[in-house]
Amino acid sequence: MTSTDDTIQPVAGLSRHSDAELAARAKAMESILVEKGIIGSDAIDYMSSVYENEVGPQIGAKVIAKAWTDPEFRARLLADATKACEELGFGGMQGEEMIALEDTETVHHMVVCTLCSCYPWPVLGLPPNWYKYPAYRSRAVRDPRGVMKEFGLDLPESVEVRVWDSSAELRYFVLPMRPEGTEDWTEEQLEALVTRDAMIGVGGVQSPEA
Amino acid sequence: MQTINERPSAETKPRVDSLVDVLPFNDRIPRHDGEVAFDQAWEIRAFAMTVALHEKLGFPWEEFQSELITAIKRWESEQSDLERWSYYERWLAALEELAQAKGWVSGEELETRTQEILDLPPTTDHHHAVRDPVAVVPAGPGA
Repeated sequence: MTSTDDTIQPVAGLSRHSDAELAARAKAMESILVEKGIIGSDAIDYMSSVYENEVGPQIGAKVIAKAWTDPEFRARLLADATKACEELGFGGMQGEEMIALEDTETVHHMVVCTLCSCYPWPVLGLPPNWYKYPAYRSRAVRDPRGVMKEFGLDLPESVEVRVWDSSAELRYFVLPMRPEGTEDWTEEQLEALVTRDAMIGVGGVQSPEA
Repeated sequence: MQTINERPSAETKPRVDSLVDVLPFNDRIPRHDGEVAFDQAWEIRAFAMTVALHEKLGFPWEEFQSELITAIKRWESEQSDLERWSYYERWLAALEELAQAKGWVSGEELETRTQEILDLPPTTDHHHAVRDPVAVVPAGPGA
């Protein structure tokens, strides 16, 4: 007889649970505490925003910086973002498609998930809390320019804005324009300019002078 | 109206950092460039929930520290396979102990709710690919 699990069985309750199970346990705890009024989810959102930048748009920044410096990679990224990201070793989601939206002088893209919080997390890390707020989900569609202004991005009138709806099947992220004045910059230097907000399309990349 | 781009106030981060600094087995906390970092969404949720509970309800942080020490020691006394080690798994175990000791939840409530969540099919509501923009704001008159 062959056993599919030949590791020593850990003591009950001490096994390394799968991430799916741990995620469910954390969610269960949160939903019960919120239901009972012991804590509000806004208070939890607030605390998670303290470190949310540490849950990694670094990967996405590498992808963007490479697309800025390597025209062939850029072409592959725009043709099939899922494959191009896998090329760099990023991905690992099954059966999931990602599309990179290319910003130009005349078109700016912005991403939302109108129903929940579908987000290309293999590339952008965790979605920020505001991404799942009803206010963002509805206003991104109704008034994308207004939302961008709140994030400090004031696009010229001459630019068309397109808003894209991420779903579980197809997730979008934005390939922003490379900032002027960075012609001699290395990929590593450029990476530092790419922000999560720019890859969602609500904010700009950092200015090279800053 | 809800502010979309709310950032934590300037004094929050140092305050949370100081809570992290006194955590047991501090050197095992996953970090990125020296900052506390998370690999999974549930990890930051468990972390933030615990800090928020401490701040809102005012129980001493030492109570959580002590649950975390117990949870980690319990793990170490039973196994040594570091492949199975996860700081935030122990964190969640400690939070569950604390929540039960405080009477916020019972073990049964947690098990039942966890099972309900695991039984839900993933994102049933948003499964189709949307291949056209949901909104287009054309360029203005200055174009």
